[in-house]
Amino acid sequence: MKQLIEMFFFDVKMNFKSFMGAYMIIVPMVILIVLRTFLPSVQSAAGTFAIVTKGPNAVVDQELIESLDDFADIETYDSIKDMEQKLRGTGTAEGLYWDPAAQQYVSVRERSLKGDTIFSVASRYIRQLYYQKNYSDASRITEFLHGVPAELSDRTKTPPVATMGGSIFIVFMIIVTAFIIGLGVVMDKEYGTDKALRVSPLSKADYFIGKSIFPLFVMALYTIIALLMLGLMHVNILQVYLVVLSSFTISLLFGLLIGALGKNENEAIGIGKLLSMVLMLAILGGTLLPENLQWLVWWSPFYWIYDILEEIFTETATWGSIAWESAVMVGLTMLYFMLLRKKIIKGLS
Amino acid sequence: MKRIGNLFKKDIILGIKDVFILLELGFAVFIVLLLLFVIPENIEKDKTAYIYDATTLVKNFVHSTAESAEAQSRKGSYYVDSREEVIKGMEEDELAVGLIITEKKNGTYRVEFLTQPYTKNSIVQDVEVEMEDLMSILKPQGGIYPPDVYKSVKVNSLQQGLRDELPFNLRLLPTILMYMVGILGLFAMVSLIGQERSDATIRALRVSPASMWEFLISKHLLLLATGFATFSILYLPMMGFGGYPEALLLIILTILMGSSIGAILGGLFDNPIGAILWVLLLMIVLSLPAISLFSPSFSPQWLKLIPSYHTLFGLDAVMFPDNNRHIIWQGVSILAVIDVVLFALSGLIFNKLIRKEA
Repeated sequence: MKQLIEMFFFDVKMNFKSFMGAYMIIVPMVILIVLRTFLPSVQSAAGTFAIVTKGPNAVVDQELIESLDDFADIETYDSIKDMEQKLRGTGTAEGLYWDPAAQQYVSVRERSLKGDTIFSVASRYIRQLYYQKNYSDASRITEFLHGVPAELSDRTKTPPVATMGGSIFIVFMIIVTAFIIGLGVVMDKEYGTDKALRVSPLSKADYFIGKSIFPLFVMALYTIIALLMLGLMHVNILQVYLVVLSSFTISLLFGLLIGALGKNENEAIGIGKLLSMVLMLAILGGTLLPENLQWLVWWSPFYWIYDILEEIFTETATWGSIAWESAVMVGLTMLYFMLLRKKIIKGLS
Repeated sequence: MKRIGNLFKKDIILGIKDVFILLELGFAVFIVLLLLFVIPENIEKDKTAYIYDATTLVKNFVHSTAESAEAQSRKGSYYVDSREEVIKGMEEDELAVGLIITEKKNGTYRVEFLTQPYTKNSIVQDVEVEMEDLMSILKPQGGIYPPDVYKSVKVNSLQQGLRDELPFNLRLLPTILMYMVGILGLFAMVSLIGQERSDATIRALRVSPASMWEFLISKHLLLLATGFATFSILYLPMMGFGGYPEALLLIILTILMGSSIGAILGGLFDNPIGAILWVLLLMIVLSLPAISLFSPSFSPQWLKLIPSYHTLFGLDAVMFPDNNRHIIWQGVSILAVIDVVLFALSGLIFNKLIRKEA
């Protein structure tokens, strides 16, 4: 135990001496700031309107612009040509300008169904505003009601896109800690520190555990910071920590793999990059594949972490589901460890 | 030139010896096999709206043409026969909303929009306007709008007809190319420089006739060659030679951008672990435009400041032509300008930092 604690303090000291400790604190914070800034914009708008606001084709009706601004992003352009260029570019947008000759608005779509000259998002707002202004006595054709059905009232009010940030961040921290553990081992091999340690009373287990404590501490600290910054403090924090702790087995496995397989930094980073690709594939699969094809990424422990975290952040997780999914994730990690055991032991000897 | 050739040869040999090149190529083969034989071309889309239309007005209108029915289906709209089925669907799919349309005794309609707890008010407002407008048009005997309401707005479109449905496995390819090949330089340059530093070969180079510029160019060439091979393994079996030169150009420019940033990080950090943390951070930032690729309605201007936006949308335009070739050349031009600046800057910074170290 004494050796383990000494190894931990030695590791912390070395990390801060080489500014590594500082980077380990700064980089996740930058990621969090990026996610915190980026995610609200994903959920803020349902689309983009490219509106001509200058010259004879300018849309000047502020009431109309404000109605559209309520649910979409508004971008303004000086001419029809500029607006159409935006529509031909990347992303989806709808154009709008005023035709002074015909005394009507023209709503421009990137693509419409054959023969459709009536339907667009802007056109329905324009028709409604015109109808209400010029036929104020006319009554509505619909009685509109809205609400959450009682059967769904216990669901979370947090939109799925906001919970995504928490899951992405924690999965990112798993990769970061794996890199730190793995590259630390490779550097010790390169500088001969591992050989020096052989003549010390430190056992191999003490060495690896000691090297893992600081990354685990950083991960645990950043979990609570992430929940705070991403507005997820209302979730069950105990459940989050249970998953974070069990997912650290993946960091250990990947860290040991990087350390064992990489004879030098070049190889280690190459292996780490490929492991990161596996992570990306699992998350891509988990988010893009429909429910009936999710089994394609069941082999990846990252899929399970992502899935459990999503359940926790959307408050649909139960202790039972957390237990079995965590067990699958840890089980898969153990299976990979058993399969690669000989390589890992040989590489670390 | 000869010196660059010799350095390049050395880098290739070391790259193969360090299994870096073999790992990249092997993984590319694995991914392409996955895309070809495991990931399906057609997938059943998740439902986004369950509609129970007791009046059949909307349902009949939507199904009046095959194209319109197809467009609704692609949006994820799904017609059911009861309120219970709407709620059941919403329970199963937490992204779905529900719509129930019934006729009232006075000839007007009752529209009930069932939402998830997180559904925003702006969406509710939009659906309200949409339904009021649609029912005003569809109400039997010509709708309720007087002719001048229709004349208040005209709808034009740049293109007509539905775009062909894109195979799902191909839709993933631009993002996979970006992750696997595009940011190859970012990771690899950091590790190559870290390796040269720990082997002290950078110091040895200072007494050789080769300059630091030649040293860096050779590394860039190694990464471009590896990227070329990896890209070809991924692209050709999926797409054939269609669009190959343009896609290759985009990916080469992206690799060069990554390797130039990698050179700066490699120069700045004498410890590769420090550099790799920033590489991982950049990887996350470079991934953000992929959200816009899969959800085109989200496309804020600031996203275009991230260079990978132009790679992703350029590759998408190459692979799925749709009167959008200008996006390819726009992407190429932007990436080329970024490359020129970053390449020069990385060379200068790297030279300066390495001189200081020596």
